[in-house]
Amino acid sequence: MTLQATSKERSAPRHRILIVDDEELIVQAMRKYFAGLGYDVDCAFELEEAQALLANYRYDLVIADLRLTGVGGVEGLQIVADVRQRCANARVILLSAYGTPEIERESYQRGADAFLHKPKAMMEIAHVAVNLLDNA
Amino acid sequence: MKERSALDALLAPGGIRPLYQPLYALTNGDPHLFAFECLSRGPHGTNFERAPVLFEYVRLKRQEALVDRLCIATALEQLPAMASSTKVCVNVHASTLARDAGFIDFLVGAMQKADLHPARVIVDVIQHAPAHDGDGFALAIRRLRHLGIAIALDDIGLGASNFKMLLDVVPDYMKLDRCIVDGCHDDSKRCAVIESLVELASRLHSTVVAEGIETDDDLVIVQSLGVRIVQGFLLAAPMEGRKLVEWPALSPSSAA
Repeated sequence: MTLQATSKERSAPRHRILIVDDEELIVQAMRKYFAGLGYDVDCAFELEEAQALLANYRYDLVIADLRLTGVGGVEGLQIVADVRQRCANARVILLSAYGTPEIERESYQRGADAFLHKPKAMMEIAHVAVNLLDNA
Repeated sequence: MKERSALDALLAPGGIRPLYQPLYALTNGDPHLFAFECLSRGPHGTNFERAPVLFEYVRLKRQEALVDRLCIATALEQLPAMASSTKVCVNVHASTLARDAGFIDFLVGAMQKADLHPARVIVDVIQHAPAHDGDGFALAIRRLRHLGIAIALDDIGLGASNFKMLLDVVPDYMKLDRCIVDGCHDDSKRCAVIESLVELASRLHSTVVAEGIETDDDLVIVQSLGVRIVQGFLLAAPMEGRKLVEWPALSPSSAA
C-alpha cells in the first residue's frame, strides 16, 4: 500500500469494515491496522456473529476467512452470499490458507471481489481493500 | 481459534446483563411511571452489547428459549425491591412460547422467587422468531391468560409482525416499533400509520405503546394521536438495577 493511498483514504468519508476470522490474534491485528487507517471496524469470530452484524449494519467492505470452524469449513462462502443479499454494493475479500482453484472459482461465482491466499502481509490485504473501496 | 464460542460466553455467569427501562402512562397530564421493561445486553466490549446483534445471533443459533429463560431469570433476580410495586415487562420470543413446553412453569417459578404477582407481569412477545408451532403457541397464550398475566406484542410494524399474530394473541398492549414512531412529528405518513394502529388497538380492546420516543415533538404528536403509553430515551434510558433504586420517578403514587 502506498502512502498516497493511505492519505487519500484518510481524507475520504469513513468506510465501515467487517472482519471475520476465528483466529483472535489475526482479528485483533487487522482491527488495529484498519482502524489506524481511519476505518470504522467491526469484528466477528464465527459465522452467526457475522450474520447478526450484517443483519443490523451496512458495511462497505467485508474481509472474511473461508474457514471459521477449523477443519473443512467453507463458512466464508455463506458470508459472501449474505453480503450479496443484504449489502449489494459492499465489497468482499475472502482469505484462505486452504483455497483450491475450485473454491476460488466458486467464491468469485458467489460474488467475492477478491480471493487472497494466506499468509498475506497486512499491507497487501490493505492495498486490495483500499483499491476495492476506491472503485466501489 | 477462540477457545469458547460467543454463545458459551453469553451463557456463563455474568454473560447476560439486565437493564431496566421505564414505560410511562400519559393519562391525566404529565407522564407517570407505568412499568419497567426488563432488557438484556451481552458482555461489555463485545458485539453483544448491542441488543439487536445479541438477539439476532441467538436466533441464528436457535437458542431463543435457553437465552429467554436466562434473561428473565437474571432480570427478575436483580430486580430491585422497590420496583416490585409496579408492572414488569419481560421479553419472550414467540418461538419460545411455541416450542418450550416448560417455559410457563419456569416463568411462574421465576416470578415467585421475585415475589412478583402475575397481575404485575406483562409478557412481551417478540415476533422476530415466528412461532411455527401454532398449537404450542396458542396453548402458551391461553396459559398466560389463565394465570392473569398480560400480553404485549412487540415489534408492531417491523419484520415478521403481521395481522394474524394480532388475531391469534389479541394482545393487551401493542408496542409500536421505533421505526414507525421516530420522527413522526414531521412525517404525515408515520402519523397516519400510528393513528390507524391506535384505532385498531381500540377496536381490539388493546392499548398502544409507542417505543423510541426521543424528542419532545414526537411525544406531543403521539399523545395527540391517542397513544397513552410511551417509552424512550427522552423519558428514561435503560438503566442498571442499582440506578433504578434511585430513580426519582419511582414513587408510591406512580405504582400501577
